[in-house]
Amino acid sequence: MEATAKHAEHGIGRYVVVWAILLTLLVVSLFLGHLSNVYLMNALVFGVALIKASLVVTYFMGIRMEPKVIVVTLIITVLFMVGLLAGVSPDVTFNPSAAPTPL
Amino acid sequence: MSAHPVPIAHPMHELKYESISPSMGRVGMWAFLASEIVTFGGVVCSYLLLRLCHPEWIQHSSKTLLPIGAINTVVLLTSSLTMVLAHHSAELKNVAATKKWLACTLLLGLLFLCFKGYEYTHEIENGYLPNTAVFWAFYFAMTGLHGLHVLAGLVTMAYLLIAIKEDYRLTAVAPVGLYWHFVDLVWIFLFPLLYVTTQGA
Amino acid sequence: MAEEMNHAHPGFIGTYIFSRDHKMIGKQYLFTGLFWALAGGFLAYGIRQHLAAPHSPTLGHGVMSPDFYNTVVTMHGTIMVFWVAMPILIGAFGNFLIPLMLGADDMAFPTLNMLSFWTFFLSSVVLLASFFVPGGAAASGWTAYPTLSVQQGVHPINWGQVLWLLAVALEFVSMLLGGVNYITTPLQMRAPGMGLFEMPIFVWMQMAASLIFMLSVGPLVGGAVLMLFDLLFGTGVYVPEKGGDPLLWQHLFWFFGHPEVYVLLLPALGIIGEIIPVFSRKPLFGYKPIIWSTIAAGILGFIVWAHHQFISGLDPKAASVFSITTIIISVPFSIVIFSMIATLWKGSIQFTTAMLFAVGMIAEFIIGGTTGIINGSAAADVYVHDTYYIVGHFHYTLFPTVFYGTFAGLYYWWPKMFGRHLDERLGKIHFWGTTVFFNMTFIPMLLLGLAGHQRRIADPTIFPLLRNVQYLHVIATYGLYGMLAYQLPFCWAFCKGLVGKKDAERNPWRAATLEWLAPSPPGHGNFDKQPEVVAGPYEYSKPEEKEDFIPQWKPQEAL
Repeated sequence: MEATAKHAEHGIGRYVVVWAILLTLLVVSLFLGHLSNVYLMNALVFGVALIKASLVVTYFMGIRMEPKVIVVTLIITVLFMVGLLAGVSPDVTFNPSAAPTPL
Repeated sequence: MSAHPVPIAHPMHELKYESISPSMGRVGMWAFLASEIVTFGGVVCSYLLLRLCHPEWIQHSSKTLLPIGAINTVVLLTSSLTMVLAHHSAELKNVAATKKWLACTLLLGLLFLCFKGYEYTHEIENGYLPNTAVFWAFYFAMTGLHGLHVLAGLVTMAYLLIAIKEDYRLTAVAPVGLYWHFVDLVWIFLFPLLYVTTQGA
Repeated sequence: MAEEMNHAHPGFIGTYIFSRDHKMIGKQYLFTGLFWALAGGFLAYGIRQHLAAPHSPTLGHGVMSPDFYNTVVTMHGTIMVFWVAMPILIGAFGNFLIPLMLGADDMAFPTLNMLSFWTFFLSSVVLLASFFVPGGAAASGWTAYPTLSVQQGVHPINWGQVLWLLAVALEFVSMLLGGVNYITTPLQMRAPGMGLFEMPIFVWMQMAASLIFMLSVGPLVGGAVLMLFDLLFGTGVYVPEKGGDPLLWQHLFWFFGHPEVYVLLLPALGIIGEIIPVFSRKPLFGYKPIIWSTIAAGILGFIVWAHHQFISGLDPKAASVFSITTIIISVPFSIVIFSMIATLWKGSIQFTTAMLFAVGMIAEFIIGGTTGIINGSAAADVYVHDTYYIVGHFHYTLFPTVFYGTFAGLYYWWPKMFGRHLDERLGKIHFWGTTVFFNMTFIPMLLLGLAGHQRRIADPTIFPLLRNVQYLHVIATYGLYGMLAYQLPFCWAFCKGLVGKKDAERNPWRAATLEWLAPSPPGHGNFDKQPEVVAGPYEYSKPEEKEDFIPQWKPQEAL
């Protein structure tokens, strides 16, 4: 009931605004894709993707209404993926003996 | 994702369970989504790990269709908006509006799959098959896995469109909405991974 | 669907086949799992018989070829982990007990629960079918390491491996669907008065196991999709010649494979955590420390996986990191095990069969745990890795976990499940026979490994070095015969326990948790009345009380 009241309060307008921001960010990332500095380009494009994702999680999925235990679990889940990347990278990405791709 | 079934004609009928959140469906869905995060996370990590040490993949990765990818992003973001309106209406117990917005979401999801199908056809016609290069294996695995999730969402929504009544299944819209936003979320990351940053100078 | 629920009598199919009742689903898991245990046991016999006498026929199928030996080893491992341990420890006990222990009438999502079992059943059918495809079942080990697993055999497509991947993937889906229930139900459906920290330890362990499973299995599912591509479309994600990397699979596999060990261990610890307090008539020692240790171990369990890969070309810097985390993780588990032992301290111990198996599990598991410390440290592991020492070590962890845990649970909860007692006398014969012969089977393996005997050799007698230790293989094989023979008393007790008058009381062990308030066996809907919780789960032998235990439930008038 409490959730319903909260939702009714801000109404539809807020969702449309978020949607508009998301579309704007899409256009921005399309432009950023043309940057010639590859590192900067990647950092900015994925930065924008992270902003988009956090908007969806916050406003569309309503994560703030959820109990803390769920939020903590989800954060730990994402951290596990970072751990996976960190743990595997010495063997796969930075492995000097890895064979180069035949083209 | 059913409401709790109560065995009729049984003294356990009027159960009052302690509850830590607005609905069981949402808790269950979050648990499920946690497992989905690691499923997509695993494939994305594998892709990143190999991609970072194979700069020559650019030859293949630059062949993905950026415009179609961008249009599909618009489609999916908009479907997320209609979905949020659907569960907003469901919370207000407005059956007609819920069904209207669910139908919009369903159509947008179908549109997404149509574009995806066009893209696949284009790639296959140009000889880019999964076994052409490891990049294409990842491309088809990632977008295919995502496409299957879209399809599953569409089937669920079609069921909800038929099933929803004043007092029935309205609470299921919120968890299905969560799922749909998650599918959108995955695409938000697949788009830069496979389209934007892969085009080369 | 609400309309369908209204039927008081769902009919034969609704009751016994497509049942949504958590108790029936639990039993379905139990029987399917026990069927697979027979299959896995038969394969174990095949392995041991062949190793003891590589040149004489193994009953029923002539002299085993090395290829067929590989298939048998692969399927033994796969079946025992995925089709015996998980369905019984989580599917059967979790399903049957979680709602009962919480005072709920069913799981949170009964339809999902039914789907979970039938997906599992489908996976069983696919796995069985894989034995009969051209080329035979998978033969690349239960870990399916590439490039062996993605190699083309005689046939253009390695169908055995494809079906293996499909079956495993389906099994994962089934456990994921189940996991949603095992997590949501305790969070949402506890009886009035029961806080999270009044839940029995078993429920905590099931919840933790399900969560660990759900957070670890994803990368392997994704990796399995890529391996299917490799097998079916000839892509090269795991093939170095085509630009892929076989080490990637090893990491994805063990990122799941290591937490999986805890997925199996935790439910078993939950089972004995229920049994030991009841038969010591003492509260569980360190209830909260056990829970927090479990959570800590669960998190740490995600950053130890590469200790399975110390000799597969792992970066040496990474090896030291993973050694350290691995050694740290023994701390929380020691806390759990010592708490179980401390529960016994000065208790009024009754050695029922369930208690024997519970204590036996701890004793044997300690051997498994301590032999593992040597593997955990990269420098020591290089010597023993990929030898029979590893085989001995993981059987010393998994056999007590899976089988002692299951037997303890079955002897303890059988009255609740089927309304009858399992024969205690047969049970004791079963326990002592199993324990003696279990050690006779696996101590020789530890010795074989220290003598330098590698794993996965079909015929050890071709190596002159290993001929000197061949006698240990023979001892281990006689041990297995004994172990299999001593399952017969259990089979007899099992059959007797399924027929006859249902004469079990509601609370035959005088236990405090909620499942003992329900009738034995509980009907549809479980309890006569909504239970209300007034006490913690382990209130035994309080000095100020007349009774030696306080049940969790508020007394209900005439039932």
